[in-house]
Amino acid sequence: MNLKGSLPLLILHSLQGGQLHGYQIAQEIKRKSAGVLDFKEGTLYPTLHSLEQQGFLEAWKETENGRVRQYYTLTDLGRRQLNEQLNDWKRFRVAVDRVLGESGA
Amino acid sequence: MAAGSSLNYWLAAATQDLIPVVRRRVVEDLTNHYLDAMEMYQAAGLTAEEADAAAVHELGSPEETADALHKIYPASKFYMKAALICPVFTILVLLRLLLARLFPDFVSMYTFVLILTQPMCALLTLKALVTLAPRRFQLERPLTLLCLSTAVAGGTFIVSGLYEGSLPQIMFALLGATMVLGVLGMAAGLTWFGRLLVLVEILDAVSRHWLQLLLILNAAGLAGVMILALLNDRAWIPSASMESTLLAVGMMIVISYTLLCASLTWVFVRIVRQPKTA
Repeated sequence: MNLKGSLPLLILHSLQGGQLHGYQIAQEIKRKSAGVLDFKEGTLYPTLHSLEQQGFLEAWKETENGRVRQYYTLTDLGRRQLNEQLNDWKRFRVAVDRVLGESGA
Repeated sequence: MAAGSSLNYWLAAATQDLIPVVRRRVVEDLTNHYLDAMEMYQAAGLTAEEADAAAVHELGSPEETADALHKIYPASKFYMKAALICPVFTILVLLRLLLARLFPDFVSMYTFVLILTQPMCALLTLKALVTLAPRRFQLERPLTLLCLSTAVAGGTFIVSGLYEGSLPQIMFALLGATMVLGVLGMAAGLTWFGRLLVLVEILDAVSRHWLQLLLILNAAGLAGVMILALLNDRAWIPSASMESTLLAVGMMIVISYTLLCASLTWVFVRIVRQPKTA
């Protein structure tokens, strides 16, 4: 299932629990969606960089087992953005459910 | 194909035409991602070649990644085009000298016009650099670059002022209201642009913190030149002891500036000798 437009929201949500590096973010999204939300992981990093440029994420480097990794965490602005996007998503879901004739829970 | 070489081909395609500092970061991120995927697949029982193929397949299309990256980071060509507009200052200096040769009788008239416009053109050019360069080099503190750019342009004016030996004109230059003319002005204009081109290469290579120290030293060095310029017109110096102090301070700063230039040259040579990476 293509999730190009939802990837920023999913990344922000994945980082709610704390800092993660890119591979952990990708695995978190796949695990929580039970494999339904599959995406080409090469596009994860442009999205991460874009979110960082917008100030929603903070990135830093850590050395782990001899490898230098880039870790990401939410900023305060990122948390606010996540809440906004979650509200938008809920409204969208309710609206689509109504159109399709499902109950708008 | 050996495991890892397919990743190199993928990375080369995905990071094509990115500026070096961004390319390094993206390559590092994606290589770590690939290595993590390799570990996972090999732990699941795949061979190295199978794990490599699976890990690279998981990354998707390199062209799609390249498109996504270019939406965030303008390609190198964009900055090269922007750099082409930078020699406005140099062109104006050359134009001034050409007009002086063709119309020597009107020197005083057009000199006044050019004195007013030349610093403005230099500052406008610097404004373009200050706006573009933080994105080009991913600088967190564009103010540092502003200081450098101002110091470089200011140094150009001051060097010309030293040649002419007139302090009031130097002071006006610092206020952006006038410019000292002469052959050295043309050379300064050309070398100013050349210096910036060299700096582009060096900024791509050095670490951010080290660079900021070098930039501060550069600004300090040019401040030292300014102090020496002040000594050109001794009417401005209140006493002989003050003159000696200013001379000592100025020389110390100029020496540190010389060491800075030597350091930058060493860094530049070292970078040129480094093997290119993917």
